Amino acid sequence: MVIIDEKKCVGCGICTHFCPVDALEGWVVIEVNRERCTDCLDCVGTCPVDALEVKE
Amino acid sequence: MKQVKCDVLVIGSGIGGTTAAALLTKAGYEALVVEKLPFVGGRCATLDYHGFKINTGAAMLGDEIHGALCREVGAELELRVPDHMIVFRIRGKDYPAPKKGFWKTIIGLAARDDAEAERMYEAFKQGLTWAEPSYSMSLDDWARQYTDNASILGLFHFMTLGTGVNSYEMPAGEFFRQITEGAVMTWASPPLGCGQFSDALVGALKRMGGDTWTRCPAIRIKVKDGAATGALVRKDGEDIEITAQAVISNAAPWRTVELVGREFLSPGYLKDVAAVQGTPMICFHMATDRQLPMLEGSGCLSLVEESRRLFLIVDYTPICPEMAPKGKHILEAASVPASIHPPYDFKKEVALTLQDLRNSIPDFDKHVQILRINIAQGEWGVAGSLPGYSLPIKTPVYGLYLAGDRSAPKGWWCSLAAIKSGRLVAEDLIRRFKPA
Repeated sequence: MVIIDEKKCVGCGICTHFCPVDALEGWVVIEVNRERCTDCLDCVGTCPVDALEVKE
Repeated sequence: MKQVKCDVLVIGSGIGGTTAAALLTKAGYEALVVEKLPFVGGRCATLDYHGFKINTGAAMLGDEIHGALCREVGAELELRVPDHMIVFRIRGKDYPAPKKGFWKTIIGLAARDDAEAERMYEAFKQGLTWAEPSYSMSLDDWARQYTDNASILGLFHFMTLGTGVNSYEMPAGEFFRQITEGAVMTWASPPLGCGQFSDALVGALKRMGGDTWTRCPAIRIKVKDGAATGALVRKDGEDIEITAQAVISNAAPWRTVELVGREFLSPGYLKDVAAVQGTPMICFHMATDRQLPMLEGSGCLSLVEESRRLFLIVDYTPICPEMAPKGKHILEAASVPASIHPPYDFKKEVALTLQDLRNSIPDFDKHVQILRINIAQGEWGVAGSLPGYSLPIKTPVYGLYLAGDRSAPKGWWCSLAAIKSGRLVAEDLIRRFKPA
């Protein structure tokens, strides 16, 4: 499951460009829309400030 | 463990890193750039969003500096120049700014009368040609010595906001030096956004025999006997040891510190690194189905005094229709928080910017769709460091350089600073290290 660390997220929105189902949304802090997220993990490795993590 | 050898390892594919890598490759060095993200360019990249091209940072490039670098390293880049660089909205009227006599004209437009225009322009000219104003005074304080005219104060305020800094927080000396050092008067955009510049540099690097690996984070910079000897990186789940004569870090200074290990760096240097702070900006990326009436003939409007926060609206489509789906325009609007120092109240700042947008764009809610509101701050700042503050290109570790806008001389800002820094790194490295 993809988790966004609110303390680290700067709101740059880079990850939103890599989500094929628009499950990453919001501004200032990006949030994961759990209903849309398919756990494809395409967003992993796209965060410039390492705020996006995968947790079991 | 897999081993790779090169002359120069560059960590990070921002403009500072790719500038240095391209220049060194041209000079005969074997350069390898490693980038942790899936794309190159950092804050000078362009990403697709439902068919719209959205810049990650840099919104315009200058032919005198970006174009010149591409020509020097054989990178192919088309730059499209708008008819008018910018339109200034002053006291409710819109004025296209000329390329020749730019400053004299816009100061004249903002002035109440000829006497004020002359007084202000003379003071401005003297600051450029004779005595640079102090760094201990803000640009706003400098201007207030000569006028209390809100239009003139607003004009200077606007001119600093592009770097994510308010005029009352910009050292006056730095503002004048930005004009004399990193001056660009031909602002332009590549057809598919500013990321094409980064792609062009990386393309040229590859053609000359260098390489760039994306999705390849650095794990550790290796140091032996006080000198950098390479780095450990991770690619496709595998650790790779890269040996190099010199390492250029285009990562943020504090990340570079983490990669090297604090024990190799002096307390004084660590203190300088801790003082580096990025500047903030809010960018609204928007779509519209029509040409906004006030952007006709330019595509770039600056609001000098009527707004709370919004200072710039850009429509890329008139010069770069490729950046939006057919029949649509892609707009970018920007604002800077009231203070550049955290903590920021971005919710309030976004609300104020939105009010400004509704006031400035007729029928905003009917014609404009907000695609993304992206924030620049901290490590992902508009400028990587506060104006006038930067680190040296050389770190305490021999052979470990810093490239990027956080290690550029005074007067250089944003992507111009990154290019300057990359050039200085390449020049110094060529003097000290020879290709294998």
